[in-house]
Amino acid sequence: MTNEEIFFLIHIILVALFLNFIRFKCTSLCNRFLLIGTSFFVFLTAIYVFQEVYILLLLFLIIASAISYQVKGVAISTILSFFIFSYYERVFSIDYLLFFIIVGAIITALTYFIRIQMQRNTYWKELLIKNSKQLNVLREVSVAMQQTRDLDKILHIIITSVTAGHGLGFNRAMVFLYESENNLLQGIMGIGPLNAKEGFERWKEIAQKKYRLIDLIAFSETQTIDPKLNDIVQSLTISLADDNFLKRTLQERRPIHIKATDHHEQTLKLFIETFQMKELVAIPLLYQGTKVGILLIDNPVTQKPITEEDIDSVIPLASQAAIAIQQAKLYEEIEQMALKDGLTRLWNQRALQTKLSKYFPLNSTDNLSMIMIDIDYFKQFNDTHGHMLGNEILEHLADVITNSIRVDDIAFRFGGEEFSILLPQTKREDAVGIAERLRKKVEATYFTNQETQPNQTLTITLGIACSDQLTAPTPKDLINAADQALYTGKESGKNIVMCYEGDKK
Amino acid sequence: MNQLIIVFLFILTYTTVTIGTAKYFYLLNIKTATNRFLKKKQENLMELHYSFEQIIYFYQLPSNISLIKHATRDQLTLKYDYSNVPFVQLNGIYLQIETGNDPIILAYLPIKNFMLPYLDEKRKDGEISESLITKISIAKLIHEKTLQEIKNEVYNKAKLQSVGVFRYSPTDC
Repeated sequence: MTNEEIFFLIHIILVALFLNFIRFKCTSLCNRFLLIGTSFFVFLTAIYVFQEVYILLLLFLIIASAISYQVKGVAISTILSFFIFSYYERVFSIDYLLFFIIVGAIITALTYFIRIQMQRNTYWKELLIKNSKQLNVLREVSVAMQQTRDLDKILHIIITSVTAGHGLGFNRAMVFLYESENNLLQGIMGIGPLNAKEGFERWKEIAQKKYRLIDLIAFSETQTIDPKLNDIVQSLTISLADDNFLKRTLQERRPIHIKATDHHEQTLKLFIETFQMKELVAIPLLYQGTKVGILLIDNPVTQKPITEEDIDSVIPLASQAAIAIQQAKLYEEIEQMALKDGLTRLWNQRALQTKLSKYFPLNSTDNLSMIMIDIDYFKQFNDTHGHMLGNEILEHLADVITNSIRVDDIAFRFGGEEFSILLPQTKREDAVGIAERLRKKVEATYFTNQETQPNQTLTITLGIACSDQLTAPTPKDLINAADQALYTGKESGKNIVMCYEGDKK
Repeated sequence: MNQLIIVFLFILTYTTVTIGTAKYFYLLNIKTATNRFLKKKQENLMELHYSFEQIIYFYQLPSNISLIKHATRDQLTLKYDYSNVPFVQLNGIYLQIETGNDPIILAYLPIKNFMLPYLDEKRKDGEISESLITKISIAKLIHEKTLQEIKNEVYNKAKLQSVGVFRYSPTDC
């Protein structure tokens, strides 16, 4: 190698290094321009040194142009190369022009083929990533859903999966369930911020603590998520009697994508203003053609536009959610049927055992009172008027009891004509007041054919016991004590409230 | 003929240096741009929080496939996914198990989904360009500590004992 050649070698290495140092600092377009510009510069310097083989350099220039600017680059560099060739060879021939065009076309075809292959690979990779992600979410959600039959937990799993980054990554989601009796949608649950600031705070916390989807799902067991949003969502009841976007979503059985600027109807306006929505999607939750509810999603934090692909990614989850919700609702119905008395619609004795265990105080500072109720002379009433009318009386009495007790009190049909009421966190004295009020109310209420009763009216006897009256209280002891008080009342002339005397010395 | 070979070698040298050092200068620029921005904002790269949430798993973990089930921590490696030579661009990182033959690609973390709340906030406030967001995200992703944490995350997920159990300690690494 001559000194000149060594110098040139060092020169092109330095130029290449400088090119790389500079070109990544600017935009993609500028990067391409620098690459082709520098290559052209290398060509110009090289052509002075290696005039005899400048054709090879021209070829290099065309390839560099093809990589940087594809067809346009090849077209310009081919024409430029032709003129450089004509200048050096002192000939201007159409044949040579044709030659350069053919060379340019071949290089274009080759680079095009390589680029298409690369684009195809990128496309397949992106498709794989997208589908794998969807599969990841569905897999985790399926496992989480299988672990519960509780409707609230299922709903929480669904909206967490829609909103968590590992899930589908929307900023906010809300669920509205369909109530067929009233033909309306009731807001049940929501996850997400009310505004962007709140959203960023939450997002920072998730990133800082490295919460995973499963952690976020588990939060519902320990804390109330987004209480402000949930308060608003739960206060919303949307009638489907009028035409609105939610009704259309269920009727058309497809997601409806709405930009806030479109709004003109009242219901949509309500949502946009209440939740400061700029763009939203309503997705129908359907199970075998049955309306289950609506899933609403939007991006109030990032303001990221919702694409058709985004919507498509929610559909499988929405379908699975609809199945899980419907099953949970059916389970709840069956559970209700198993725990409720078919005639009076009060809780039955099986439910009493469960509720007693749940509310039975664990320490002496808490109180649980129980009232046992028996209808006076009910056997005689049944014998006189038949069981059908007897049943009617039981139903009527159940209504009177239900309307007389407090919100936290729980009424049961104990069996036959006996009823009971559990009064959590209630002392005996307060229970007596409630029982006396109920006794008077029943006495004052008109029941069909009550004139045939010994006192010309239907009456009840009530026995009361409180957990603090028992030495070593158990649920069974409390029932026995209230029952004992009831029988003492029966023996004392009926239509009376009788308290258990207590077994504490 | 000699001159032809020399010119060919020169072209080869130019191409090799341009392509061969592209990744180095690409990452150098990312680090420089990131440091410059964060210094201006008085922030530290280490203090920018990120989420594991966007790791895409190609296998259900823990897996019953013996090569995955019995893989050691050393077998789990990271590989940068670059594209567009000579216009280098980091698209993400592969997490794969070296098996001696073809590696098993367990997971992939795409850079465009590697989210940092700090950057999202700056984007919303209009304080940062999209290209700088990408650069800072890459700088965070390729930081040694981040890579180690991601590796631990995937390894821990792969090493859970029974299929269907998801909860595990994030510090178990």
